[in-house]
This record gives sequence, C-alpha cells and structure tokens, in this order.
Amino acid sequence: MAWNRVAVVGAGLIKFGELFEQSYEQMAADAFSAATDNVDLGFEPAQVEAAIVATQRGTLWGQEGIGGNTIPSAIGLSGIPCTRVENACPSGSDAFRIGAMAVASGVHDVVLVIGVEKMRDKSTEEGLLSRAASGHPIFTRGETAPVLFAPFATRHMHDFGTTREMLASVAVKNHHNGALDPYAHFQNEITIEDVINSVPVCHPLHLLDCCPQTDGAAAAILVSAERAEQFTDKPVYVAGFGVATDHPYLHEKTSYNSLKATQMAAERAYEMAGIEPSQVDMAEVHDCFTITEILDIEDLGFVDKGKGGVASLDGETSLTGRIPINTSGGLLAKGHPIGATGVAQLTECWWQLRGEAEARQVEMRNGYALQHNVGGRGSGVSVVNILTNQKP
Amino acid sequence: MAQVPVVEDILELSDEPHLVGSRCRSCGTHVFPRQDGCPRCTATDMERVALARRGTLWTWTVQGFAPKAPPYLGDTEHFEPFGVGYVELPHELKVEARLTEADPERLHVGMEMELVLVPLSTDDDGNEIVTFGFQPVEEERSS
Ligand SMILES: [Zn+2]
Repeated sequence: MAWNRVAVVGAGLIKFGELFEQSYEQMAADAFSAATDNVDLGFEPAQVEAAIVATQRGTLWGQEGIGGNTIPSAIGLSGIPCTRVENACPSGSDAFRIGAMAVASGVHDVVLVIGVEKMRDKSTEEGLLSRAASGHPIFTRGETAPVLFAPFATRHMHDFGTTREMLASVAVKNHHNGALDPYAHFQNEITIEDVINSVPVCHPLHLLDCCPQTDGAAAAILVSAERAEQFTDKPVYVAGFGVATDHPYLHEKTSYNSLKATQMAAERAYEMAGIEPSQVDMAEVHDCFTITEILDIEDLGFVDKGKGGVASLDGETSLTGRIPINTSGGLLAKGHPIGATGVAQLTECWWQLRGEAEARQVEMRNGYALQHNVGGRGSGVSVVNILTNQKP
Repeated sequence: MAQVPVVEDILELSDEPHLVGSRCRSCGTHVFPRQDGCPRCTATDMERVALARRGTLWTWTVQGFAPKAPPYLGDTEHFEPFGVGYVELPHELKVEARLTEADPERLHVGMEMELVLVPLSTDDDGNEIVTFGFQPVEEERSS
C-alpha cells in the first residue's frame, strides 16, 4: 500500500560551487525561483503556505543563531510560518520529510522546502572540519571527517576483500556523472589512477575519495496529492520515508562494515512505500567518501552485504547499470553543501522520474527513486525518502 | 617535568597506565569516558573502574594530515601521521585511541594491542601533556 498523499510539483537548484559573491539569502531565493520555474502549469509565490529551511551550520558563514525568519523575507513571503531544521548531514532530507508530514497532516496544502548552506566563506581553520569535533574527551586530539569513515573502509577490505580500485571506481563513476550535470561543482572526468595517486588523507582514503566543501541551495514545492494536477500533468509523489538513529561514537558500534542507521531508515521507508529494494530504479545516496557509497548500496539492499565494491567496479551502479547510483555526480562531484544536499538529491530523483535528466537520464522501469543521507556523530542519523511517478 | 593527562579523569598515569571508565552496577555495561548514568538501562549507580590494558584491534586508519588546531592540541608544525584504531577490551567495551604504529603494512584487524602513554605537547607550566594510545603487543616484545 503506497502512501502517496503528498506530491512534489516543482524542484530546482542553483549551480553548486564556490559562491563567495552570493549571500545566504540570495542563494535561497535563487533556488526558490529555480523550483517555481520548474512548475509546469505555473506557480505564484504567494501560494506557499509554510516553509521549512534546512541549514546545518550558520557559523560557517559567520552567523551563530539563525532561525527560520530570514528566508521568507528574502523571497517576498515574510509572515509565513517558517522553521529551520538541523539534523546533521541529513538536514535537507529531513526538512523534506517534515514538509511532507506537514502537508499529509492537512494543516498546509502547499509547503516549500529549501536547503541552503554556505561552506566556503570562512577559512579552513574556522570551518567545518575544525569546528566539528571539540568537546568530547576522545576528540580532544582533533577528529576529522575522513578519520570517522576510513576505519569502515579498512574493515570492509578486511572482511570482504574490497580493493583500493573498487573504492576508486566510485569516484570515477560519480565524476563521470558530474561532468554531465550542469549543476555539479566538479565537471571533470577522472581515472582510477588519479584517485589512487591523489594525496593520502586517512588510510586507505585519498583526496579524491573525499567530497569537496561546496556552497549550494536547492528547493522543492510539496502539495497535497489531490491538488497536484492544478500544478502539473506529471506529478511525482512521496511514496515513503524513514529516519533512524544510532550511537553517536564509533567505539559504540557493533559493526564496522555497515551503517545501522541507514539500514533501519531504509527498512522503514520501504515498508511505508510498500516496495522492495529491487523495485528502485535509481538512487541518490550519501557518498561523502567512496567507502560510504559502497556501504550505502549494501545497507539500502541494492546489493548483498560485501558486494558493494565489486558491483561498483563492474559498473552495476553506472548510468546504464542495473541500479544507477548518484546520477547527479553525488556528493563527490556535485558537492555537499550540507543543508542543500538532500533537497538537491531529491531534485535529481524528481527529474529522473519525469524523464527530464537529459544526458544523465536512466531507464525508469518501475517508477521509484530513492534518496538517502547519513551523518552526524558516528554516522548516527540517517534519512531515506522514496519518490514515485505512480499515481496513488 | 610532570606529566598531565590531556583531559581530567580519563587516564591513570603510572608504570602500568590504564583508562578510567564506569561500570553499571545494575546491568554490567561499561562506559568510557566515565559517566554518571548508564546508556543501556539508565540506572545511575555507576562505579569507577580501571579498564583492561590489553585488547584486540577491530579496525583502524592513519590520520595522514594535521588536524586543525584548536581543537587539536598536538604539534601541527612537525606533524607526523598517526594511527587511529578501535580496540576491543575483552568483556568491557571498545575504545577509540591513537595507535603508536602508523605504517599500514604493520597494522591488521584482530592484532593484540596494549595501552601506552603518548606525549602530545607541553603546557605553559612546562608539564608534558599526555594522551593514551595502543601499541601492537608484538612490537613491544621485539623492542
Ligand atoms: Zn545499566
């Protein structure tokens, strides 16, 4: 039984990259325009009843406390209800889920979800990597993002024979897709040798195994399913979603070759959508590092546990493969402006479901696309959203 | 020169240094660093315990670049890559720690590790700030 009470009638994003010249509010306003421009039968901004804004960290651009009120002012909608959502790397995907629940509840008929993040304004010393991890005694020596994911790669290689080339093949594939995506931060092809010969970061990960720091914004317009056809002849529906939490520290994990939060969030989303992983035609998943995508495709049920590396090297996740993954270029090539990331992934799913992904278009046999993020301390938060073009 | 632990009350300094954790008197769960409530059963009757000094390596990496300081308290100008590992102390818990070994060729999942003190930096009073680390037991025997 599909859920399908909420439709996505517009979605869009701005070109990701280093956007020093654009303000936070301007980025959000441009993403909003991109989403409304993509509504087939036209959309008046005044139709927005409420907004949810995802921004992970205001300190990255010099703001300590930011609430929900700066964005409505910037898009001519001052006065509407607006709430800021922060839930680590899944902030954007969780804002989308909350927006969908606001519509499904019947409280609002039209909800705007905007994800926006400025990652580049501050120097590296003041930026995310240095600020991410003070406070806990274990972290006093300076924890970095790659040091939290690299141990999973070590263990995956030990347990399943995953190789350095298999890890690299994820970055090669995502850069290939990014080169076809006009919104991607990086639009260049790379080779397996490029990845392996890039600077070592945290064994076994090298620089090209890691996503860049990127500015970006994306927006989606959610309406109640009954009203979808007022806005478009090609609505996309929210089929299901799931959220899950896991322990915040890696030393509390019982497994280092899987992410339990992803597994639980996926299970909940599949159950709500009433589908099996094999019915998903394409997915946008959290590839902050190459190993993360390998864990994701296993934990989301697209390949057997331990087979993610082989599947990647064999091209199963390419645009023409059995289950295309990160057709937009993923975090590795498109970029990871945290609050915007999930909403941008959902935009790619929306285009794929509508047959509008141009050179990146993949075959949509069953009409289901899945979006996934995982993050926070110990990768302890995950959100999965499933979209469909099948009418309720 | 006196030695001081990097953070109060996580480490007992001695010839046989050990980590300080808590054990829940209700359900037996071990916690490191110490805390007053049990994360498993929420009981508040936690006893202070010395954790085992030896364990096995579950997984590891090598921090290949200098973390940003602060919060990093080590020397960033003369940075040397260091190992980071998750060591399971039998019947207690896993701890995250620095490893004394940073050569990927000499680290493997499942090897036996032993707790040692690792100098981190010197404070304004001239005290040596130490943190904890684990070294391969084989390495200790051969040296
Ligand atoms: Zn207990």
